[in-house]
Amino acid sequence: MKLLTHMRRYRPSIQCSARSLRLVVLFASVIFLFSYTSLYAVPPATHIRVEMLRLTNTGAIQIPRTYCVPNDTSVGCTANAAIGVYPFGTATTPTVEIDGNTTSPYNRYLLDVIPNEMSPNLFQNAAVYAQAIAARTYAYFFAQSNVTINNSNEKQVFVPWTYENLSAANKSVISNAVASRNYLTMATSSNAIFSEFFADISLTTVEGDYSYLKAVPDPISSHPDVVMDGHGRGLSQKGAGRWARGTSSYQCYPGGACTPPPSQPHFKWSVLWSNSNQILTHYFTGIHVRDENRNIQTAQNRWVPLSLQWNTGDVVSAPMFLCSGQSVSVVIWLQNTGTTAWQSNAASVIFRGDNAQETQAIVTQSLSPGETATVTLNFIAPTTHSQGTPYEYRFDMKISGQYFSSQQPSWPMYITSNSLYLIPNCTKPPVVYLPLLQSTGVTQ
Amino acid sequence: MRHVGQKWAGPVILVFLLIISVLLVSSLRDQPISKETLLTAGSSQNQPSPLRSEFDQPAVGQAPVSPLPLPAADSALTLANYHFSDPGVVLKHDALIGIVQWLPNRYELLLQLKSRESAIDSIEILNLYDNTRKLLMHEQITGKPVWIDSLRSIAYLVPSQSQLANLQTGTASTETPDYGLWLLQDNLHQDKIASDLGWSIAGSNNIVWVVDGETQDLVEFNTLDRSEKSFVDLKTFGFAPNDPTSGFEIVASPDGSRLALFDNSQLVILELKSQSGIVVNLSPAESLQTETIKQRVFDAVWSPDASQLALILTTGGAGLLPNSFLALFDVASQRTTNIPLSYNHVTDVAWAPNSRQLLVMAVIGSQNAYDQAGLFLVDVLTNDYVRVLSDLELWIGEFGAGLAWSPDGANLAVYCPTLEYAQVCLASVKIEK
Repeated sequence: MKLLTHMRRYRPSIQCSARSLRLVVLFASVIFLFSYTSLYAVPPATHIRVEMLRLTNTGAIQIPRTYCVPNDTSVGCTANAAIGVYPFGTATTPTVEIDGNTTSPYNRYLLDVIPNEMSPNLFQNAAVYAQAIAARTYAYFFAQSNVTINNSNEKQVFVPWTYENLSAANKSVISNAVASRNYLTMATSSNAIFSEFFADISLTTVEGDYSYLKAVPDPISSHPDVVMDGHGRGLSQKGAGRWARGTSSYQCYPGGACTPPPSQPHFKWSVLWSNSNQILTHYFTGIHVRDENRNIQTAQNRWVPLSLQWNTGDVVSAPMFLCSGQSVSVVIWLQNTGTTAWQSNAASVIFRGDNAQETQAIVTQSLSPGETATVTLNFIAPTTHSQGTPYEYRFDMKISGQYFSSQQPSWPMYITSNSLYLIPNCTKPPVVYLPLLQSTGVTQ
Repeated sequence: MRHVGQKWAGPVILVFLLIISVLLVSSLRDQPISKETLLTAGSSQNQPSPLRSEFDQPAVGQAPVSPLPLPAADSALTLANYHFSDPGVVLKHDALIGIVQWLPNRYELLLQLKSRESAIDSIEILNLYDNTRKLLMHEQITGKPVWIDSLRSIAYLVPSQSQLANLQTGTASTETPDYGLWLLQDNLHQDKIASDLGWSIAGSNNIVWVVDGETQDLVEFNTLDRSEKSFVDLKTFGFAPNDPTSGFEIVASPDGSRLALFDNSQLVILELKSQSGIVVNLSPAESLQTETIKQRVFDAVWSPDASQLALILTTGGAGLLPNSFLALFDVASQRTTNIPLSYNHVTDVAWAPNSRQLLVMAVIGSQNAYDQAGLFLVDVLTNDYVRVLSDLELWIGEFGAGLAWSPDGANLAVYCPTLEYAQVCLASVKIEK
């Protein structure tokens, strides 16, 4: 009886187990797939090991080479001893969270890197945002290979308490710069690239060891005051500052001028990029910007204008005086900043002005990612416009019938605007004497 | 004859030996300091002095003698009149070294040594005549100590724990009983002379200026009679020295007649006699910019005659310096002018006694993440400059602690580390007209 009872109880148990096993396998498969997806959807790295050294005020290593010690107040070990001493105790090579937040000053990296690499006092937001993404990518690159870096300008400068030492306005800029958690990858991989950057170079960057570190023209860095500073590979920090400001000089010191004075309009450059992705895809060839879940944030087809040259006598930016119905032409030096090559005659630049018909100019040559070409675009000036009010000149590109601005994700149109005065019944383009241009370089 | 010969032989030989000795000593003094004169930690050997010989040398074991009167400062000197000897190493040490200042006697250097194993500083006096070092203190202090010559003492601030730990812990911490202004004589007698004084310290002769931790008044402290008086409310100038991010500093002129007060946003010159303040415009008058990036003072050094203030300015905010450049504030004209130097980072300045030439240390390059340094002699009247001691391989250490020119202009102390050791080098300066 006992046995029977047992058997009766046992049989159903076997049936139950088989069903359970199938359920368990199914459940495990789901968990595995979920885990795999989750695993795949995290950034390439979260923490990095940093060798902490006493530095000079430039971010170089002090010699003799000396590690930070408990309660150290030396430069490099703390940004301001009055705020906090070296926070990592006896650890000379602490592991810190790359994207640690403002409330965890003992365990965060980027917030204490970016202000040292690019001061928000001197650079426009678009440049600081680009720097933040390049700095995060640089950290991911070493962390994903489990390589230890140091806190000096040999890699990227990391000094604890830097964020706390900022003004409220600059804290806001840095917090916004790191908020997206975006990073850079090659087109075909979600691993972080070796996003090298350097201080400054004139006219052209230097080719590096990876396909995304191509030498690219940097015509905005054309002023005689540009001095090569650094290895020249990848993102030029002052170059990024120039693109974000729209000036060929970087006259922030000594003397303080960061935008050209009216008497020296030649400092002004004809284009200005207000989107950090324009800067990043210009300096790093064929890359994608991805978010923290590794989702691609950038379009496949991309471009940036490197310069605009108007036939109306305007040196820069956009015309302020036009004859009604006048034929206007602009020579555009553009760069393919996307991930795919353009075949000859496949891509075209589109112009759309207020109250103006859309016109286009075909890029006749084939362009691989990173390469540049010039096209001449012609259009007819409007016949009506409210005198002296802003007029927007919008530039887009199109390939295989697809506007770059209407891709998913979209790529910004380049929009430049100026107060426009239409001169009726004139036969020749008006000659401009006063360089009273006000370009905004707004992108959409 | 034989007797006479024997009688004179001894003195003649003695005189001969004396002449030989004098010649040998002179030749040794004229030589650059070589490896043989290297000092090691705690050395008290009597080595030939690296100083130039025209000083009144004290006998070993005796109290230091009064300094000779300083030679008259010659404002007609130009860059071509200066000649620098090959420098020699006078101190080699495992700890990092900051040169604080020459002492007025012109044969001692006040040094701040930063241990590589702990955060504790040592303050020491290096005697360049007998090559001895005297340890004054071994403690964590705020900023540089101030030398009070009449008392043979240093005045220094022990940092407030709330200064160091407030934000770090998120809560106000208990003050250490040591927090405040201290005086330490070179006989090692130590005195706490005032509490609740902190943030920054400057001194001249017997007077020390500090900030009252509560009222934020500027306090003048007489170290002789221990009297103190509050005389300027720093808040009226817009200073907030108790804000740890403000970077407030005081720099006193050598004669004690003027103070330079600065933080991350402004520079004020305070005339102590009239107690009037000048708010200095740091934007150069000739600039044409439409958008000005605010310049701030990183460091300031008064000229010996207190007529000019050499400024190291930067456009950077907090943290490391994207640049640091040389400027000059002239008290009489109240004008600030930039002194162009083709390098992005000026780290140290030291005045010549005539208040016309400046020795400047600047970053001239980079190698393996170390900054290479160069020394430049600048004429502030003409803005001309020449590189000096170019054969000396120099590296940048702590900004503002790498250079000191002796009060008589005869010797130059320079931080000259190697990859293994911190070192101080000495070069003599000759004026040839």
